[in-house]
Amino acid sequence: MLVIWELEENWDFPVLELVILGAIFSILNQPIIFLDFDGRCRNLTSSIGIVSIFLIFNVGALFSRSFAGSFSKGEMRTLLSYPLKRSNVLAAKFLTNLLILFTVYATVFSLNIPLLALSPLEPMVYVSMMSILVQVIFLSTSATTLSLLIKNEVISVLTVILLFFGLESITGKDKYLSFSGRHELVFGYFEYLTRGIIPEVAFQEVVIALLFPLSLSMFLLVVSLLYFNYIMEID
Amino acid sequence: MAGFIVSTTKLTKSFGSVLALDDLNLHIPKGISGFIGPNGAGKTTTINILIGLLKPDHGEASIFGLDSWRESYEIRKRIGVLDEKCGYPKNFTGMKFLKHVARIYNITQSEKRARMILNDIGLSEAGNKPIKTYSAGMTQRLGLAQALISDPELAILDEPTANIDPSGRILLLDKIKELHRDRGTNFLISTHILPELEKICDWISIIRKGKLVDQGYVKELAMKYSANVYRIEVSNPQLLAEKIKKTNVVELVWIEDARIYCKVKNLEEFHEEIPRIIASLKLKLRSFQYMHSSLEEIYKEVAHGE
Amino acid sequence: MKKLSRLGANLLLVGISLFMITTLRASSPYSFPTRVSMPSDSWSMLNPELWSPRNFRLEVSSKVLIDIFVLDRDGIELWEEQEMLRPLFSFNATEHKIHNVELSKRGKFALLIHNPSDSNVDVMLSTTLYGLENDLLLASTTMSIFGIIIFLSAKVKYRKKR
Repeated sequence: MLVIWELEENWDFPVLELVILGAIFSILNQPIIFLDFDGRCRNLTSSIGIVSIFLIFNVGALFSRSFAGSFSKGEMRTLLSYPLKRSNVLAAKFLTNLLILFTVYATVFSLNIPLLALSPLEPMVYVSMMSILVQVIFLSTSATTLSLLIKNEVISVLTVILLFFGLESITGKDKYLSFSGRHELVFGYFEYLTRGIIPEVAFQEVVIALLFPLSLSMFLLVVSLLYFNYIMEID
Repeated sequence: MAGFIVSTTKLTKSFGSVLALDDLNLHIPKGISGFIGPNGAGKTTTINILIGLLKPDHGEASIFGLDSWRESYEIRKRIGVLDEKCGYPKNFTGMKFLKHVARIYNITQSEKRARMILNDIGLSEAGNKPIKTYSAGMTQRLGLAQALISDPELAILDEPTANIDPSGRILLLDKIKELHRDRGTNFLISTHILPELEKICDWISIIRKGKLVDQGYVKELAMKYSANVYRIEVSNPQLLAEKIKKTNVVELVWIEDARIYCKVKNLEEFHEEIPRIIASLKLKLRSFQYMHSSLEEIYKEVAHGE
Repeated sequence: MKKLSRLGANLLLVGISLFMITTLRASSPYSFPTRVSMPSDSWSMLNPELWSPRNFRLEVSSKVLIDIFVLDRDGIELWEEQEMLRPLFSFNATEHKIHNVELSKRGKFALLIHNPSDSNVDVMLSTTLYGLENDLLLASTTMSIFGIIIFLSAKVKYRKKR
């Protein structure tokens, strides 16, 4: 019921449409760079940097609107005056936004299968989607935590976008800290696994590359949940 | 305390260096209760604590004997809230919003209930329009509708008549009385429009600078803070007034619209002396009435007098 | 916005954005020069590439007459397994020429070169893919049309209901 509330209030026209447009432009805009047929999977990873930037903007705007925006509009007060558990409210908003965002990006990304003449069972497509999912989870939990702390929609949007945009710029291609670096690492490992294409990537590096954002996300989610449930006051 | 549905004990709350509530001991019985005080007195802070949005620094607050912070979820099943600062989802129609609210409260036949409450509150025609198109008055009515849709045991209303036209206010106050009479709904109403409150409230709590100034049944408070004014109608008011002035039982005597008003110094002596004077002057007595203080007068004396 | 109208509007929006993407992608033609040394009477298949359904230009520069065949995925398999030739396009007896064809599908393609002469030759080839990708264009047009139909139907249905 809260999911429907969130969908109808925060994903009304033209929000979903703008997200779809953003996904299409970020994912499909990139020309095919590797024409070598054996390198076709590399096309999947070549444009991932642009996807990351669009994701930052999307997550920053959507999650700030959903959380911080609902504080400033008074909708959170309304929701919390009903017999609803705070954890349910947080979970509904978080999961709805996360799932819709990822579904849109994954669907558009899957158009790469025919565009790059890949088999639908091509593992590297799903490796790329997994990379995007990890990034979406990471960005979403961070945006949620920041929005709950800031409670102002505009400041929240700016903070999230500047923070992650800055982080990606500063960390460059660092293999653990930046999205592009992590993706290259994970992609390289699975390419090595599935088709023996070098460079060889150590399993431990891949585990760190995946565990780092996921564990940070879980930590932030738990912190947000505890804060929202037990500490947060709404004036 | 027994018999009270809302209780606070030494309730204290600060926002930085601002002490919003200072050892507040509020008690609200069943019925229709008013919660009044000047701006910044701490009414909204108290309501926010009661509905579980704020945590008190010290002391306790409870509704139905349940702690308002720790057991907030249980409390919210039994109350409805109209809050000044609440916002409603702008893209929903009034009908859709109330249906959602009804479902939150697990009301079966949510659509029927929503339609009924929209009708009661005078919004049946606007029910299919988006909330963003509503005027301030319509939004206020919608707020009332969502507060009352679940048939709560206690409805907490913060400025319920704000932005509503006079006929709407009459309708609303009648609705409140009807709900209390027919369904036993209790109300805690915070408002600045005291004459309206006076018409429907049984109990008043007055707060000032975060402290409780006084609370009690309206009639008792009226007696307590009464200006001790009597109104006398006789055949010759000027003659009587002259005689009364010479006595020692009144502070002040004046005539208005051919009626004598006396601010009494000593009630017992006044009750003995005045009938005797009237009898001696052989005047015809038409009425002899005690003038109860209005809520405004009580409020002026209590909230601003200290 | 009503659900059906919104679906129609979404389809139209996706169609339009796909069209814009198609034009953006078309703004960057790909040109790949290759040099192949061909011994006399030899066959050489270049590395298969991923081509999209666009206009294809092949610039050939050779001192002798050579044959160039464009093989699709099936043609490549047939050649590799049975050395049988089933080309999509054939450019026979070509030396200095520019050939323009239109590819109808997306996928794996390869150029097969035959030097029938009795002398060694260095062949310079330049393959260029340019123009709009037809499958994307078709998809964008189809979606746009469906979107318009659904949107207008929803509007008519809503007006009738009122």
